[in-house]
Parts: sequence; C-alpha cells; structure tokens
Amino acid sequence: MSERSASSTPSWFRDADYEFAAVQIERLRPESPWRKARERLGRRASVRWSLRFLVFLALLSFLAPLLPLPSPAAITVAAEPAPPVAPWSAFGDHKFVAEYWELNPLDRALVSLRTSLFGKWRTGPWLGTDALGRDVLARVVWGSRTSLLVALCAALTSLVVGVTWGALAGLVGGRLDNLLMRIVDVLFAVPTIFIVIFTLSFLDAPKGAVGEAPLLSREQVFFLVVGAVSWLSMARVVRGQVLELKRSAFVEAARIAGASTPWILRVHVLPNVLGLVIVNLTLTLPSVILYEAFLSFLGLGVEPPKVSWGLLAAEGAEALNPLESYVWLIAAPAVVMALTLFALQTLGDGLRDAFGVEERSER
Amino acid sequence: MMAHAPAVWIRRTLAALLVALVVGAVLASALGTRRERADFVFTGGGEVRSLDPHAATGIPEGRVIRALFEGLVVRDPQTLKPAPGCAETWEVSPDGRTYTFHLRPDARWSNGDPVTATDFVWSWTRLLEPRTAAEYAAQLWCVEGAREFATGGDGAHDPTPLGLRALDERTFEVRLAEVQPRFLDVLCFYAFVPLHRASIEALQARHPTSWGTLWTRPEHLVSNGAYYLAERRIHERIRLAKSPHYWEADGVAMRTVDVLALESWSSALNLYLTGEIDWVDGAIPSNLVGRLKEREDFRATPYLGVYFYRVNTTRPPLDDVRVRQALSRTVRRAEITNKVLKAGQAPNHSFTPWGRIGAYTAPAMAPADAAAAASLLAAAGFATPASKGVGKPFPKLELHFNSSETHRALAEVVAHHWKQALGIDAKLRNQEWKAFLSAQSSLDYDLSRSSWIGDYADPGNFLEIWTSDSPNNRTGWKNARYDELIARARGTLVEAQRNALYREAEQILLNELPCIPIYSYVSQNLVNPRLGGFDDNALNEPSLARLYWRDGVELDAARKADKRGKKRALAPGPSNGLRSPRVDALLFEASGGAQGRPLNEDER
Amino acid sequence: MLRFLVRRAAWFALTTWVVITLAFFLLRAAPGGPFSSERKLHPSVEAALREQYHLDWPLWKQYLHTLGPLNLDGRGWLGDGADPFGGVLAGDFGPSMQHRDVSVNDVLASSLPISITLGSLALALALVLGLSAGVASAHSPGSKLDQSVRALATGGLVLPNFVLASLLVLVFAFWIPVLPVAGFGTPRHLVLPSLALALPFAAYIARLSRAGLLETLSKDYIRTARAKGASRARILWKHALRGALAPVVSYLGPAAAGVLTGSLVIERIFAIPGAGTHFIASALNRDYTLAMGVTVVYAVLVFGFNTLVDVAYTLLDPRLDLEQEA
Repeated sequence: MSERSASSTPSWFRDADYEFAAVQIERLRPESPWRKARERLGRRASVRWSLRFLVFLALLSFLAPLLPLPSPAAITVAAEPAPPVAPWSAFGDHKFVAEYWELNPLDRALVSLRTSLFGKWRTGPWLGTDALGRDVLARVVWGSRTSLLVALCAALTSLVVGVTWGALAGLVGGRLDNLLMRIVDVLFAVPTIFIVIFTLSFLDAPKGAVGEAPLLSREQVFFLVVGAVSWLSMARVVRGQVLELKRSAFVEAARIAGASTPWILRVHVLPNVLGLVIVNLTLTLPSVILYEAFLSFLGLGVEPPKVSWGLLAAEGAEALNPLESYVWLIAAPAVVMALTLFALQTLGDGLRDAFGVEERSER
Repeated sequence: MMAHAPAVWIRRTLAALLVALVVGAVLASALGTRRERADFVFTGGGEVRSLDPHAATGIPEGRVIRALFEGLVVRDPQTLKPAPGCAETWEVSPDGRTYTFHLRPDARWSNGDPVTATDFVWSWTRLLEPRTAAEYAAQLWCVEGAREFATGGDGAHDPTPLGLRALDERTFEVRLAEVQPRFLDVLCFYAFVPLHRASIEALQARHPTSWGTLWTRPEHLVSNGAYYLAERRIHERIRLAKSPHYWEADGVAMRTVDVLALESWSSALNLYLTGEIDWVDGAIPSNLVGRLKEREDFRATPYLGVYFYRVNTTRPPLDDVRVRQALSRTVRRAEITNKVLKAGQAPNHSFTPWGRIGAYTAPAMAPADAAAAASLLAAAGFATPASKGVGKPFPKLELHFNSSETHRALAEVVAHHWKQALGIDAKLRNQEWKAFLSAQSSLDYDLSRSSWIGDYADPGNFLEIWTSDSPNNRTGWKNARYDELIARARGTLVEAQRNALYREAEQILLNELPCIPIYSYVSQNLVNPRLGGFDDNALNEPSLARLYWRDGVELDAARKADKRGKKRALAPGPSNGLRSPRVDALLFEASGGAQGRPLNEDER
Repeated sequence: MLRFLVRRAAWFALTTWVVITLAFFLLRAAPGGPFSSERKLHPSVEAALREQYHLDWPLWKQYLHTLGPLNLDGRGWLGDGADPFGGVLAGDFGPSMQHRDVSVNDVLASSLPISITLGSLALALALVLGLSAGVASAHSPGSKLDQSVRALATGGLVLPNFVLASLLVLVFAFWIPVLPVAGFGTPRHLVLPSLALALPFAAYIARLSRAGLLETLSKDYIRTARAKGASRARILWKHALRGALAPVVSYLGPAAAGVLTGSLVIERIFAIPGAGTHFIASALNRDYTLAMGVTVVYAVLVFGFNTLVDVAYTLLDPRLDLEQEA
C-alpha cells in the first residue's frame, strides 16, 4: 500500500507541465489490480479447490429439486433415527414421494423435471435419517439453499448499501462523513438480536381468514433483517479505504493534473476499493452463515418444514451428549458447514493476498 | 517513523491489562461462592418468577414455595388427597359453607414465633387485595365478601365483611358464599400459605416503596415450612436450609437443598450425569428418550396434563363441525405417542387426560378413521383424495405453535397425517411465546397448539376452560347447554352427581370439538436411584421434606423389586462431597468405589 | 485528546438515547405483553398489574418515566420517602416485570460482573492464543508450523459456537473428565466456557496478527534492524509486533461486541448466571424493564469499548489524529 504520509503535494510537482505530470501519474499508478489479482490467485491450489467446491455447492443447492434425492420434508415416522448406509449396500429405491413446502414456479418445474427424469427412484439414506425418518442428505442439500440465500442476501445489501454509504462518507467527507459514520456507530451499539426478535414478531402480520397468506413470510423477514444489519462493517471498511485513496499520491497527482472526478473515481478509486470489497465480502459471508445458525439455536430460524444448516446443526447439537450416539445428525450439517466456511475463508485469504489488501477489521 | 515511547508504553500497558484481566477474572470467580454441595440438589427449569406465594403461579415456583411455607392442608404426595398441614384438624358444616381449622400448637415460623389464625386472616386478605394482583386470588372468591373486596374500587373497601375470622389464636374460620365442593383441594395450592405479618410490616415501614422486592430476600423472609431460605442467587441457585422450628423437623432428612436454575435441558442432563444434581425434571428431547428409558433412574409417571390443538371456530371452514371432526379423526395419535414422543405418553381420546381422573371416567370421542373422515369432509363440500375432483379444494390451513423442537416435530407429523388422509395442506407457523399467546387470544390462528395442566385432580379443572365466558377458551366456541352443565356441576356437593354432569358436558365438547386432543402428558424425571421418599404422582409434586438417602440394603431391595427388568443400566452413584446426615456412613460402605465416577463401565 | 473525548461523550449520550428510545418503542409495539400467559389472568388482576407497573399510563408518560431522570410516579413528590429520581438516566431501571420480587438493578448487579468476568477472560485468552499463534506462524511463513497454525485458526471460525461448546464439554468433561460440565463458582468452571467463547476470536486475531507481522517485516526499519544483526525472534517480538498490533487492537471493538453476543449461547450451555441469559429471555418474555436494562448496558459496553479501542489505536499509531477521527 502507498504511504499515508504522501498526502501533501509532492514538491517536485510545482513547476512541472502537464505532459510531465501524465508520465509521473502513470508511474505512480499501480498496475491494474485486476490483472495482478487474477495472476496471483491462479497460483494457489487451495484457492482453486475452494473456488471449485463453492461453485459445486452453489450448483448443488440451486439444482436440489432436480437431484434424485428423497424429499426433505417427507415424513415416515420411525421410533429411532436410522444410521447412514453406505451407497454400495443401499444405492437407492423406488419410494420417492413428492412432499415439499410451497415451492416457487422454477423449483416446481425442476421437481416435475426430476420426476420425469428419475421417476420414483431416489437415493438411499447415505447420511442416515432423522427421528421423523427424513433423509439427512436431502435435508443438508436443501438446507444449503437457505444458508446460501441468507449469505447472498447479506452480500447484496453489503454491496449496495454498505459500499454506497462508505464511499459517500469517504468521498464527500466533512460533516456528511461525520454524520454517516456516527449513524453506523449508533447502529453498531444497538443489539441486533433484539431487532431480529421484534421484527420477526411484527412483520408476521395477522391474517383474516383461512388460506390467506401473510404479508411477508418469515423467511423473507429473516433475509431483510440479516441484510439490514450486515452492511455496517462494509460501510466502515470502504470509507477507510476511500479516505486513504483520496490522500494517496497518485490520486492527488491526477487531481492536480486536472483529471475529472468521475475519471478519478472510475480509474483510481473503484478498482482499488473493489478488491477490498470482495475480500470483505468473503469474510462477511461466513459470519452471516454462523449468525443464521445462532438464530436457529435460539429458535428464531426458518419456518418448518423448511430447513437450513443452522436448524440442522441446532437440532443435531442435542446429539452431542454422553448418552446418545446419533452422531450423523450433527456430523452431516457440521461438516458441510465447516467445509463451506473453510472454503470461503481460504478464498478470502487468497483474494486478500492477490489484491494485496491489508487485513483490516471493520473499524 | 513511528514515535517509540508511546508504542512501548502501550505495549506494556496492554500486557499489564491482560495480566490484570486474567488475574482479576480468576480471583473474582474464586472469591465467588464456593459452597459445600447441598444434601440434595435438583432443578426444575429456569429461574423462579417470584418467591412471593401471591405473585408466583408456576410449577418450579411451587416446588420452592411448598418447601418454604406450609398451608392449612397439604397434598399427600402419594394419594394427592388433602392431608393435615399447618392445621391439625378441621370441621366442615353440613351445608358445606363453613370451614373451621384448628392449627397445630407446635406450628412455628422460622424465627420461632407461633403461627396464628390471624396470620392466615392477614395473608388471605393480602392475597385478595386488588393491589397484590394475585392470579390465584379468584380461587378464593367463593369466600364471603371476597369477590366484592377483590374487584371493588381501590381504597374504598373495608376488610371486615370478609368471611375470614380468627376465633382464637389457633382457630381459623372460613365462611363461603357459594358452595365449593373441592375447597380443601384448592387450599392445597401454594398461594394459600400464611405469610409472616410482623416481619413484612416492619419492612414496609422501613422501605415504603421497595419492600415488595425486599421481603423475599433471605435476610428478610420468615417462613413456616420445613425449610427456610438460606441464600438466593438470581438465575443461579436457591439454597434452602432445614428449619429447626418446623413442627416435624425430626422427620426432615436433607439439611440443605439446592434448587438450580438451568435454562437448557442438556446442561441439566450433563450435571446430572456427573452427579452434581440428584433430580432433573423436564421435557426431554425426544431423541434421547429411547436411551433414557433403558436406565433405572428414568421415571415417567402419568401426569395431569393434556396436549391439544385449539380450533378457531369463527373461521370458515373450521366453523363446520364436520371439518373439525374430519381433522380430529385423521390424527394418528398412537403413532405420535409411540414413535415421536416415546416416553410413555398416552393417546388422548377425550379432553380429560388419561381418560379418567379419580372416580371420573371421560366419554370417548369418535375413533380415528380416515375413510369416515374423508366422507365427513366430502359432506362438508370439499374435495378429498378419493372424491376425484368433486367438491371445492380445501383452503390451506395454518398450524400455529410456539417455538420449541417438540411442538415443531408434532406439528410436522400432524400436518403430514392430514396431507396423507385428506389431501389438506397445512402450513406451519411458529411464533415466540408471547407473540404466540397474543395471536391465540385475539383468535388470529386457524389451529393452535395448547396444553392444560390441572391444579388438582378434578375434571372440572379441565372442563371449565371451555365455558363461553372463560378467558382460556380462546376458540370462539360457545355452547349454552355446556355452560349450564358446568355451572350446575360447580355447585353440586355429591361427587357422583357432579361427575355425571361433567360427563355429559364433556360428551358435548367431544362432539363439537373446538379442540383436538392429542395426548396425555407424563412427567419425565431423572432421579438418583439412591434417593428415597420420592413419590411419583400425577402432579409431579414429591414432598421435599420426605426425601432421604437410601442405604445399600434398601437400594438393593428396591432394585430387586423393580419390575422393569434387569437390562436397565445402573445409574451413577452419588458424587463426592455429598454429605447427608443420616446415611453418610452407609453411602460409603454401600457404594464403595463407585464414588464420584461419572458413568458406570457399561455406559462408556 | 480532550476535545475528542468530549465529542465522543456527546455521541455517547446520543447513542444511549437512540438505543433507549428504540428499545422502548420496539418493546411496546411487539405483540403480547409481560403479563400474558397460557392461563389468562383475570381482567381485574391484569388491570392491577398494569397499574402497578404504570402500563396504564399514556405511552409518552411511560416513555418519560422510563427515560428519567425524574420519577413520574407522583409518589416521590408527595414526601412519602420515595426517590424523586428514577428511570434509566438516573441509573434506576425499576422492578422486573417477569421476576416480580427483584429489581432490574438487582439482576444486573448479580449477573453483570459474571458476564464481564467471563467476557474479559475470553478476550484475554483470545489475545494470548491469537497473538502467539500469529507470531509462531509468521516466524517462518510457509512452514509446517505456519500451515498447521493457520488450519487450526480457520478451524475456530467454521463451526457455530454451540456446536463448539458442546464438543468441548463432551471431550473435556466426559471423555477426559478433567473439568466440570457446567456451573459457576471456581476458576475451573471458567475454563471451558471462556475457551469456547474465545476460540473464534483467537482464530481471527491469529490471522490478523500474522498478516500484520508479514506486512511489517517487509518495512525498511525491520530491514535495518536485521542488517544490524538482530535475531528473527527478537525482530518479531521487539520490532514487528508493534506495527502488527494496530489491526488487532482495532479488531477488539467488534470482538468485544461479538463476545457479548456469543455469551448468550455460551452462558446457556454452561449454565452460567450471567447477563446473557436475560438478554434473550427478557425480550421474549416482554419484560420491558429488564429488556431495557440489558439493552442499555449492552450499548454502553459496546460504545465504551469502541472508544477505548480508538484511543489505544491512536496511541499505537501516532500518525492518526483523534481530532480528525472524531
């Protein structure tokens, strides 16, 4: 990173003409952060594998209705959860029943495609079943949708609200900066869990008659709330970076050289901020996924029969006691969750190194 | 270049701060209260709401308050019948309107004062005062003048017309305005214990505004039960110590009792398994029930509680009795109790739990029958899986419950039953407790989970909630005949006649089904097998004063007599540090090397 | 510095006010009240209770009463010995509505020290573990040590803390029975909960300090020191750590807030009578006064800690100017 002390106008610049200045600007301006990043990123195997894993997971989660899995909500009440069965001893059977919650049209189409492709065939209980006879593998795959969606939602708000907020504060500076950042501070001090509990109870609006749908589903409320609280750190980080860039030598030089503000923004500020934004995102996503688990643990998670990793983990955590040994109930969600978060972190690390971003916290 | 001095300074400060933090934390915790383990330790869930018998209403509160205070009559822990408590004897006038209680001459407060009839008059007057805002005051409204006194304007009332009189130091007379056949059963409840007037009034004089939060502190609370309050740490533990002035102090074995406040059942289980707790009572996660049932220390006893779904009878199509019948007749209750709950709960075919209470036998509702249910639904004009498109599609129902794993699992299973048998889609709606209650009160639900626990063994306790004016009805269901039957039963002294009326009323309820009963509760206790005097009863109210530690001989005999067979795993022995006055020596002789081991070998 | 602190104090007042107001109106707007229960109260009883806790007052009056610093109870001004001051601004949160015989101040007085003990121990543990891991792994980047430390550090960040805590109990209280399973009272009782609470933060600090160290190690003055013949360990501890501390210190603010939130779960699993338990319970029970109490305390702690961190940060890096930051 450039030295912060370079914020004052360099003395050699005073008498120089524009042509000379342009050459100097080129020399001061770092090479394109994108190209450099791509090169550095490709070199690390761990990063490549993480990326592959995440893409695979995203595909799996998106295509969940298409896969020949048992339905995640189909109940066959049994007295005990059944342990995992190796695929080679019970590869599958023809007992598929389409039992889902209310799906959106796309998922419905995928489900009907699945039925025409695989018929009634479904995979065996490779990861065991839970106490209501539901397939753990299917639940983990379907559960990934909620967890990834929450993460995605948080990512979007971070990007849209957080980046705009931080950039605005950093660019305009002065009073507005002060105001915006203090608002963030105040919001930081408000306990989010409190907000979550109450928003969930208001927006779960009463309805008048049988069969009427409420205004917002619990899941939507949940996404809103998680989004609403996840942009704060992004705003701080972006503002810090923008301030630093504003003071940096090459922006200063460009400004003196007469470059327009939009041009400076596009060429100098944006690319340098983007790297940091992406890095920060890969660090936000794990914390949001863990937050979902935390809420599920408190009983504030998604509405059943929908599933999420957090819900599975919270349910399974009961298995972690000295009496019982339904380990698969906790192992399955915990392992995928750990792998995903691990991949996200590795990717974040890789990106950070690639963009040469200092690891900084959300101050 | 950075300035060097502040950096060194900050690093040193930081290091010093770190050390200070750690040392401080360790010291703080060490200075905290390392106390001897109590003779007996148990938990019944979270922190008690209050130790004021007039403000408390819950079950965990009851356990502590009944150990601290003793009312006129107490429930016999085996039969649940009223037995002499603070009152040695009593007489009832032939018309059932006047009760005269004779207090024990040796009934004493924990400070040595005798318990007098005036104490009762004063306490019950406090209970009835509107300012006290006691939930159970309404149970005493059958006393002369009580209703007017309790609901009259503030300040304008005069306690003399109340039918409560101290005839002398030890004779307490209660006159009733209306007949209450179960008056003695009512009095067993902990709201009707005496309070120590002198100490409370002294406190009121000294702290006119804050006495309400002060008088139940250990340094101020004077009680008349087997125990007195030795220590209270909010959200941690309540320590009870044996009161030397209790009239039956010789029969009380446990010198100290700890009541732990534990929010999570799994931490209670962990503490139990390491011998830190001797009795855990709680709703056990159903995944664990299978393993626990194999253990000798797991005790499931029928409990006076019913689990049911309320039906909002004001919303079409649920206002149609045929729809309600159809829904009820497609719930496979036995599957729920045998495969989901598994602890010994029973499918409920009446609203009264277990189908009977004492001499009362409940009528049964129409049996589960998917085909009959489908034809009922078709008769109501709806399409069913068998009707091949005839009839309107049934709207999407909403099954409303409060956030909890068991309720969720049950709702999922019931929704599955309806889907399978009737093709009805039921969406699940889960709300946190208070929002849930608010929605239920304002009839903002289709079907809503509920439960009802009896205060004492009487069908009226359960059936009275369905009268039109009952605040606990919450379904919009009204039936004039039902109201009349219940009102008549209330005033009938002869038990057989009363039960006949209740039976007729319950039959109406089961035909109309403003509620769909699901199952009857069991209490689920993990009890150290060495514990003696622990009586299983339908209210899960063992008497703390009767508990003792059994010696090896008695334990072996009990194990042999246990009908549940040999395969039950033996429970852990009492942990180290257990100091029980009576069996201390016996324990060491009997359990030998088992001391303090968390689990037996076969459980590892 | 003084000006900075004064400004911060002004913001602090504003934040507290916002939190109080927000909490007050959120609580009142949420469905259900402190006295709703499965067994519905008789209307006369409920009315008496509402009167006792002033819930029968108009909302604005309740708000002013809650906010303080004047006790609007009326009684206080009639010379009956009641305190004329009350409300949050007077440091009096009133009686708890759920636990009817204790005041919120009692609850906080008994639970807050426990939470702070646990929280500061966890933070200290996170710093010690995190920094040592960071230094160890920066000592020889790319080595086996580095790789294993980094894998471990990531491991602390990938599991929900309730799973982590349950695992710790299972391993250290049952399989290797060396520590108590739950409870509070001796230093031994603190080991598992503070560890479970600290691990995720230790992991993050390890990553931060490693990155910071590697960055600082490439600076000129380190090269100078190395040229003078200082050993690598000496350079790491003596010279580089100072520069690497800045991001760690600035992380302590969010970490403190995170520790507070994490303690909600940890206190429940380990049955620790801290304030975290009340946090969720009071909101769910609509215990207006207790919920207000814990929320205000939370906000004050987070804000205070963040200010402290800002001060420490400037002391570490004199180039930053507090005047500017404020």
